[in-house]
Amino acid sequence: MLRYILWRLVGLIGVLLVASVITFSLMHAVPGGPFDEEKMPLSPEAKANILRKYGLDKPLHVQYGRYMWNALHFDFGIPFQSPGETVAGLIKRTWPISAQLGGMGLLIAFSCGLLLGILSAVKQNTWVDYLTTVMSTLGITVPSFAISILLIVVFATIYRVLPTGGWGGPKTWIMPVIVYALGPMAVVARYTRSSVLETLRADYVRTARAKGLKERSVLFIHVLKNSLIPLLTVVGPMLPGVLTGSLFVEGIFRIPGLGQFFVTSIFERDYPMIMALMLLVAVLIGITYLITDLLYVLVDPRVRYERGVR
Amino acid sequence: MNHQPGRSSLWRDAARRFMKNKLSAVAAAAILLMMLLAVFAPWVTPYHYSEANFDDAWQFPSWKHPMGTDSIGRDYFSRIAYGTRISLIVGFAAQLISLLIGVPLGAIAGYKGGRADYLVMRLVDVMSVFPTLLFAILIMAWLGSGLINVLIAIGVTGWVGVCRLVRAQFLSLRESDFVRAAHSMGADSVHIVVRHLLPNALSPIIVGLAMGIPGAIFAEAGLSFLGLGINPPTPSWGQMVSTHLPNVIYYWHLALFPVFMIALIMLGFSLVGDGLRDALDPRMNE
Repeated sequence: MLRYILWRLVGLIGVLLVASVITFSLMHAVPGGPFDEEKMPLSPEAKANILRKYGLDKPLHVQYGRYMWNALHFDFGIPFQSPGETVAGLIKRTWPISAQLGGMGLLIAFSCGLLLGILSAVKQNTWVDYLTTVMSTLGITVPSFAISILLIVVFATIYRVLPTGGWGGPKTWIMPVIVYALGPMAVVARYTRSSVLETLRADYVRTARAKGLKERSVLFIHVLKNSLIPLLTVVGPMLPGVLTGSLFVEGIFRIPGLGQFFVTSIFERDYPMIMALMLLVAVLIGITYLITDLLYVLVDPRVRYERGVR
Repeated sequence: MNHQPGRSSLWRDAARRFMKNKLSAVAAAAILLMMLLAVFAPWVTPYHYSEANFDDAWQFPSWKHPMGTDSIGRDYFSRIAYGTRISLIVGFAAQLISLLIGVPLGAIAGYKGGRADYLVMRLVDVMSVFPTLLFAILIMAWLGSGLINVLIAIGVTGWVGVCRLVRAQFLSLRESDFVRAAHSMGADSVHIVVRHLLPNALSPIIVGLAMGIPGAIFAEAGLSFLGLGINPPTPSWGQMVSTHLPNVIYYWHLALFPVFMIALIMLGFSLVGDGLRDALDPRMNE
């Protein structure tokens, strides 16, 4: 088991290296630089000085090596778009905002999604079931920025009960949290429903009923425990995206979170910030996948990873 | 293909099962309607999408302009109708690119196994830890905006799912009896892949592609929303949403109509995908 974890971590490091090389080459292939004339009129000497200060006068492979070496020591450089702080400081300032909204959204998504999924499976083909199906189809297919704008039009323009956006106090959280919650909630409800339906048909559930257990005990002890396992694979990959903030949702609601930097960093040719964001998300995704696989072993004794083979 | 009764009745059965699913049939009809709107946009729309009429700017829906007009008096219905073209082209063409990259890679990985499989899967690993949107935005910033580049950006990030799917199918089919029989009769790899493995993996591939269309449409809308997608004055729904988002308080219809269309087209394709999955894989639908 330990060997398997180590093996996966080594693999993750390799993947991160390749991904960072690709990102580094791509972002330098983007025409223009961070200190071009149209952004700030500088004399050639001053520009050369700035370039030297940030190491941008060196050949690309040297720049890459230096960045990765510093990153290994948790020094991610200085963001060109906000030179008064470090990249690490900028992320530390903005990420908690995104994580808070995303976290609240996920919490609502899981609790409501599970509840709806179980209800609609137990009461299959009743109005609860149909309502859940409609809601989960809409939640999965309607894009987040469409939902955001619909909410703004209804609650901020027509009824004027909520602010159109901004950051400050629970009133500004409501709409973004709803937007974050709807998609994952739909996915959770849908998978819970089909998984519970499948488990309800299993032989051990029939046995449990046959030996006279109450329906409630059958549901909570036998059905739920087994039908929640497949959910792990669905839920895991959703976490990194929601927790780092959607640039659409944050842009529309004017939330000062991490999401906007996925766009502004590229527009500003903010190389250190682009690399940091890529590494951050890639590490989050890699770790989430690993944890999901490990949890699978913990909750399902039938699954085993042996000898580092995948 | 009528001389192959087994095969044609498989597809006929699937079509019958698909039409029995009311929701998917309605969705398919809606998609068909949008396709007609896209093809016949010049004949259906009362004005050209870039025809500006400053006297009629900022109008709300009326008989003359069914969806109102925008800031320089362009008929909004015409712009919405032409926008259908972009979304449909992106939806299908991006999936075609994913298909052209994902199927060969998945086929090689699943059929050859060993070193080829290892290499392809490591590439898939790399692609799956990438923040997709960041990657797509980087590609757009590198290549510049425009329809072709949008297709490249979406296709380059979108093939991973198809590749995984084809590999998994081939891995399990490779060991089946009819493939062994073909091997023992001296069939070469190309024959086995093209005549035996691909046809048997076809329905999951079709379903996977159909399910991917809404994602591609959403990606284009997103890129255009950020100003990195389709160049004005060619109308794209995502671009129209972002243009009119600042005025949503006063001219809410200008943001709402394209949002509604994006939601509708994604919903339509998703429902068609659901229907296809149930129709092509009857075991799922007991």
